[in-house]
Amino acid sequence: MMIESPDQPDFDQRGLDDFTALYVSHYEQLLRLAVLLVGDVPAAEDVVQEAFIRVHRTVDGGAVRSPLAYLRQTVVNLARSEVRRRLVRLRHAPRPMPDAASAEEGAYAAISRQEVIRALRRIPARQREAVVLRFWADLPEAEIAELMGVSTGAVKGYISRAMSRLGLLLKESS
Amino acid sequence: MTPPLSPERLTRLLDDAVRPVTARPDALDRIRQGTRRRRTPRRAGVVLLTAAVLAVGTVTALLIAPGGGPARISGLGPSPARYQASSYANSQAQAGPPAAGQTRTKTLPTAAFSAAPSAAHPALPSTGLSVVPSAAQSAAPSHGVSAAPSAAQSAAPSVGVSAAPSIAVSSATQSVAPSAAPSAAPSTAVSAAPSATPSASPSANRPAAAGIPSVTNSAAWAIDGPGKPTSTVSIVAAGNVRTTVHFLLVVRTTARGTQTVPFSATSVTGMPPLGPVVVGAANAAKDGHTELFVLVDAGCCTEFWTIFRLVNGHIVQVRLAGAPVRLAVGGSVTANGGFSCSGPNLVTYTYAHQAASGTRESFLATRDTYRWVGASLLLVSQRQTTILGAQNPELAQYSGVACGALPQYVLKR
Repeated sequence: MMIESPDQPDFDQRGLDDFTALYVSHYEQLLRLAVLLVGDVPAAEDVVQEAFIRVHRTVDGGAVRSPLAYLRQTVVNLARSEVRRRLVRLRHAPRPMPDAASAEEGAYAAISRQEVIRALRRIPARQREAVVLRFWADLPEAEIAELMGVSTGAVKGYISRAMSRLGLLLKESS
Repeated sequence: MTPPLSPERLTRLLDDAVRPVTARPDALDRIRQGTRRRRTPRRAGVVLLTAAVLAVGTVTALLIAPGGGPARISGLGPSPARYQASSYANSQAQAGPPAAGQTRTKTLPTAAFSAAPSAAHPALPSTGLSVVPSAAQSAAPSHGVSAAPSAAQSAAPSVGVSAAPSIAVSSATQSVAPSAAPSAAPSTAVSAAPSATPSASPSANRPAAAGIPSVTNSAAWAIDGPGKPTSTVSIVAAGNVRTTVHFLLVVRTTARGTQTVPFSATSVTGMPPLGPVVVGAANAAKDGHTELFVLVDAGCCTEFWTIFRLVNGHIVQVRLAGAPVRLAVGGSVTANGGFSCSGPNLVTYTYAHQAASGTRESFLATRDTYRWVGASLLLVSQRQTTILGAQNPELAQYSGVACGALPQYVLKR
């Protein structure tokens, strides 16, 4: 949940290039954020990998003041695009043939089967982003507003509506 | 009326949902490969753009050259090219020379990130390995060279580096043997390293780095040979720094950029206080290349070391029988092990207590000889013998490490 991971021990980071340090510090948490936003692990891995590739060139050059914020914003934007693409694909894709799933796919499916993940998939993308960033990433509303490019009031509205809808969906599923 | 979901419950649900999600061991490699793939087309684009600009400039210069261009095309009538050249010349004339402090140079985009560390990379760290034997360690595992059980490891090279000349490292410069006194660890290799001050490091503006993960240790490795800048070798936890068994060997070289090799090892919690440790480097194969030895597991008395080496420009983990190699080092009174690299082959020694033979203890001693073949060790011969008597001096021949400046143990002493 904590993207900053402040409780991690202070290990020596000398000898690491900035990008590796950034990866080690934040990759896993950003991957989890992406899983919550797109709903499955493989797509989340693609999203976070793409975000890191985009930020790769900028880290050592100092072009980005806060690489974590840049990464987080990129992950949110790419996740939004991924969901949009997925909707288009679903609209046009033929019905898939049944196939035996691998063990790894089973593990991924287990994550996708989580009630909260399924519930998150059923709310609008903006509400999903707001609620995940607020309650999982623990970001303040002002920062969420900046990240999403909306006003703080809009963020509050998204969160309020998302909470009501999620409460309903989770109650239905239980 | 449905009661709204409480924030605490939602936080807990979200946290529980994604807790099983962990990073793949090869994730960093995939990112680096993706970055490299993108850099290539960008460079090609820059070259093409430059060529196009030069071509246009050349044509333009020919057309507007005094007495040259117009005379040559005067008989051709008004052509688009002529008008173009003319209008270009006019616009240049109207614009006049650039004002003071202005330039008309167009800055072309360039690849801003290079994995290769510059001369200003951070000063080399000392190995800083504290030697703290832990009481929490388990009983000694079995001896002998074994393949690691984990299937998660990959010997595949990570960051692609173009085939470069093989490294030639003299054994005098490659010692990174950790010891209780950190100042004694990196020897001449450290002095050969770039000596930029830490303030020159780009890590000065690293965000959120303090207090977060995860180099368990680092050392210098004279991968580029004597007299050349030394590489730094770091071990990074891929995941939760205390519990993960997935680690990355990150090697920063001045000549070959950064290479990352995923490997598995016992976690920091399972092998306190350090987790995997860079033991040192030695020219074990006697081929001019330097092999890096890393402690990946330890019991009460026995340590297990794995080996990394440079193969065709890529740093890979050496494999044995298809799995990452684990050399047993040290032991107790009933079992012991070690290895030597005094010749072209790697020879492992082990002995284990069998049973009492009459009044004397009996030990089965094994000597396996392996040949270095690329990223693998191939068993060439095996010799077994029975040694009688716990005080038999022959037992001493089947333990200990005799390979360059490698230490006998890492955690013991």
